[in-house]
Amino acid sequence: MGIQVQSLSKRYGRTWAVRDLSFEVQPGRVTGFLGPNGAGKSTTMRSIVGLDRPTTGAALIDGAPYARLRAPLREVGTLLDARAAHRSRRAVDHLRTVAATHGFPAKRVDEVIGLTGLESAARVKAGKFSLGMGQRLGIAVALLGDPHTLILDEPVNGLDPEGVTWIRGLLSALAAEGRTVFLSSHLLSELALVVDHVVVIGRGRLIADAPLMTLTSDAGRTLEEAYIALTRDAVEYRAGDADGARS
Amino acid sequence: MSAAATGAATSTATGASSVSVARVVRAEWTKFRTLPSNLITVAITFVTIVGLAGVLLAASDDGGTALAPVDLLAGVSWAQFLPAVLGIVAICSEWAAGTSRVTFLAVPTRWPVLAGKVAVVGVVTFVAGAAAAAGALAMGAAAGVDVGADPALAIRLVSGTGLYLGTIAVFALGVGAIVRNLVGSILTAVGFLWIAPFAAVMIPVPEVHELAGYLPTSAGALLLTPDNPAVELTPWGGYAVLLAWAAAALAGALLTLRVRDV
Repeated sequence: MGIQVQSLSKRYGRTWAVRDLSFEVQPGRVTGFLGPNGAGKSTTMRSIVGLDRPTTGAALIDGAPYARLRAPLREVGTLLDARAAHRSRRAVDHLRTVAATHGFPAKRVDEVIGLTGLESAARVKAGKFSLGMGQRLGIAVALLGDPHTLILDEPVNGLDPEGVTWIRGLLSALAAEGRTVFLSSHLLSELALVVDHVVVIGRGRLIADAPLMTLTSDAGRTLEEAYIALTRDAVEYRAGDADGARS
Repeated sequence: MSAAATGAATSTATGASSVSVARVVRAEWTKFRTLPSNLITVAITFVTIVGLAGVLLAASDDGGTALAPVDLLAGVSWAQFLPAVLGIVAICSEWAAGTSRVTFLAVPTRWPVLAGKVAVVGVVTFVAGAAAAAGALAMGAAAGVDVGADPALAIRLVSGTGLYLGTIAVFALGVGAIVRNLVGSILTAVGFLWIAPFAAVMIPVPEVHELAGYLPTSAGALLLTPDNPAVELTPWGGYAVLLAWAAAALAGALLTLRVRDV
């Protein structure tokens, strides 16, 4: 159960974005997905939900590949991009187009609008949304099908402090209900408040897959310090690093 | 399991729902009608065809009696660019606007999305084209054009305008799904639909001229002309050629959707 990534490799042209990556995301806890820019986090997430076809290897969700799911949104809620609605379409219409594919009732669209605090913005065109409101709309889409698994790429980006607190509570509550919650973020101190388990990748390969406690308090350091130490050799782009990244 | 955190008040909130082709068609219809630009494009298509018929009728000295029913559809060749744009925008806007991920997360088998867009764009442009042709012929009949002299032709002109524009829209949709980039798709479609027929005329080789008759718009437009024995293709034969172009574009679109990452 949960998410299983099995020897996943993905090549774009000549570049391997992900190379022989294997890990599992367990239900009932929040798993953070960390890595420097270009480490392959988004590629891994896109491969799990079938947007990218793996070059080799596979990803399973509760035992099945995403593309086999008959009602994918009832199994998996995904947020990959805060700017995922058409600029000229109202937020409520964006949700309706998604709900229609699964035949979710209109009531459910209203519920997720309420849940994400978008009541006053539901009839506003998505092009007028701030980044934070776009995130809320993306989270509303992810929650539409009341899914057992949530996959969220940088869900905290652009949210105001109230929104950050809200999503932290939401993710903890979802995990406490036995759901699988998998999220990436660069905001490590924020992430440390909500994750139970951490998967770290760099240059498309697995660096660490461990409980938060093992990486931090047991080793007497913060998540940030642990992360910097772990990814020291895997960072491709670093400020002030004159001779570039790859050696 | 309690569903408190996601606000699903009852287990029936998302109950027995699963993806079906009919539901994807409905989703695509919702997408189409919730973008104002689509409705405007359909309206302009209609107005161009009916309006040009009106202009022709008003401009003819004898009130239109010298015009043939076919002449009343002169606006189709001007309006035909718009259904093509509708078809291209229906698919390319998914990538331009960033909605492609949401769309294919909901329908990971992918092909129903294409089927839904074909159904919506095809039916809308068919109805708009047929309604506009009916309007143009009705205006002509009221002004004295002998539309009733050949009822079979009148029926073919009305249904043919719908079929011609609808099939061009579907062809363009297929091109858009293969090319994905909005500008690239429009240029490709313009090349096939308008530039190629003109370019072929410039080449002084008889075989090229003959083959040019099988280009999508050249062949399809025969449906909107009287049967001409001098042309190798019959009106419906010409339409069948256009249909084959659309089918080929859709086959390429299905393959592209299947093998390419979203």
